Amino acid sequence: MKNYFKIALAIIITVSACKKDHIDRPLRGEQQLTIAQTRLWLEANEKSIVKKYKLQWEKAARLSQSSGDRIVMPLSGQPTIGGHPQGFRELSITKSPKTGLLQANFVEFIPDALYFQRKGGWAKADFTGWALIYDRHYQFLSGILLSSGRKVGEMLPASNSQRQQFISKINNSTAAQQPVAPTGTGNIQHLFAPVEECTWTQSSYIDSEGVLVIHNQRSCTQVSPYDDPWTDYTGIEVQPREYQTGGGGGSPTAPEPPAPSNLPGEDSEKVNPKKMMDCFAQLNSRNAAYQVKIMVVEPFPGTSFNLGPNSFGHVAMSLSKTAGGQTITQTIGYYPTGTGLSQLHSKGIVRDNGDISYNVGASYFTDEKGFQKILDYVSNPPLTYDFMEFNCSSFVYEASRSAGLPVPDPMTQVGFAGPGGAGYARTPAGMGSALRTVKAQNPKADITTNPGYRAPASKGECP
Amino acid sequence: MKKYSFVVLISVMIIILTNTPPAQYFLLEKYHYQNADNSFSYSEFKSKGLDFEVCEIRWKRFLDTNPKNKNQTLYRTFTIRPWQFWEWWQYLAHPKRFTLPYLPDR
Repeated sequence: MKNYFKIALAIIITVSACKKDHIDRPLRGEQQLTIAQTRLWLEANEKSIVKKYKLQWEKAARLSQSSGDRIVMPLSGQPTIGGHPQGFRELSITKSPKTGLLQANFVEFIPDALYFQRKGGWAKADFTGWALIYDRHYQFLSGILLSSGRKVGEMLPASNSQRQQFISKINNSTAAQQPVAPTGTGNIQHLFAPVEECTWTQSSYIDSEGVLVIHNQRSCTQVSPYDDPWTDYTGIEVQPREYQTGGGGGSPTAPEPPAPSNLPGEDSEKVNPKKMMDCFAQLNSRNAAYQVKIMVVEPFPGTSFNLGPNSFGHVAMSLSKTAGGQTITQTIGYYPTGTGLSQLHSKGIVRDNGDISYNVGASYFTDEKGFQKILDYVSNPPLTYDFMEFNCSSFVYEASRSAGLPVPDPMTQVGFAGPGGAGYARTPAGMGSALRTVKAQNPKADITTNPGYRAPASKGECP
Repeated sequence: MKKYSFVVLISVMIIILTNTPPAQYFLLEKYHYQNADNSFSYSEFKSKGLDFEVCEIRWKRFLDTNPKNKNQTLYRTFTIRPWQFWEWWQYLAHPKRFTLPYLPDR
């Protein structure tokens, strides 16, 4: 009896020692992913991740994808491009397409800055930007480039020698020569190497861990007919959750929306031109009077010099609608963003130009239709400011011409004539000079050429 | 002595050039102002019409139209950096902005 007891005890102990906790056994195959199961798996198998990141399970969500469920959880921290945080990241748990076992990845989404700000969020259907996939140790695996919801390229880790060459290039270049990381401040093609055909280039950015990630990037101008834009070359699918600023989109378990990052040079003084123009609707259009005033800050007042005490000068416009004894006025101007030389070609913004001092002004009257054309133009200003190609003078000139106003063309010679010829651009000096010419030819024209005037104050944005 | 004079002359020329247009367009900081709760804020772009005088006009209008707002002090969010010689002319010609109390830019 004693022996039987001993044997039984030995068997029990042996079986108990061999028995594995069901938590350690990876979930397989047909088992559906749930947040609770994923949590158990993660806490048992990825202790380092649990320890390092403050996981907010209440914000986790389950996404159904064509390749299977994906459990996602937002993480704090943002990738950095061009010195500015953009995008967001999440912890992603899926089943490996090869083994069927659960795997944890980190995914960083970087919507193109202009797309994000224009749309006020992002959607899978038209997402433009990057999706970068990291393994559980935060080593870069792959990336997907998307444009308008379709895959237009991919990214792979750079080799060590490529990394060394890239870093050496950065370290040995002057500030002006340093490769420009995609900033999203200009043409959308800045995010993707503009090429005539698919080709590999090297690119970099700083991930949410603060690590410089150098990768090889293949991008194409021809949109490739990929069936599944959200799957990388290894088969990992990473469809993002939709997000809309203002709290309109996403599921109840959507992550805390990341604040739209300020673009380089953008400051709090830019206005929403559409909201400013919407104010005019507060007045009845019946028998309303519409006035457009162009105001010029000449670089060297009284001359046609393109440079003077007022630097390069400025051109602003004031829009006024008068009806029923009330007047609404909005005074605006077009500005570059950024600092230093980056202002020469940068994202353009509209700013409130009320109260500025100017020395040449011209008034025009128009009708409702013409006024509305100007409002439409101003509400959707061109995205890119270029010192020569499209500046404050160009903005005011084009806006005025959209309504058919007889504003003179401020095109003028810039620089000195010589080899290669002088350049031409629309400038504040050109506008001031043109208006003075019109005044000289027609003294009755409503044009003032004396300094000391101040632009009318703007009403500001209307909700 | 000649070499010393030459160095001084070049230095003075650099200081003058960097304190005048067009260098100022690229070098000058876009001075920013706000009240404590940021219900009023303004950034200069002096080369393009938005100078400190406009800030004063708008600040006065803000005070007139918001008498109940408790944040009635205008702050500057930029620090004074005397080693930035390209701003010396601003210290001399437009000192008023630098006398405003300082509020760190959040």
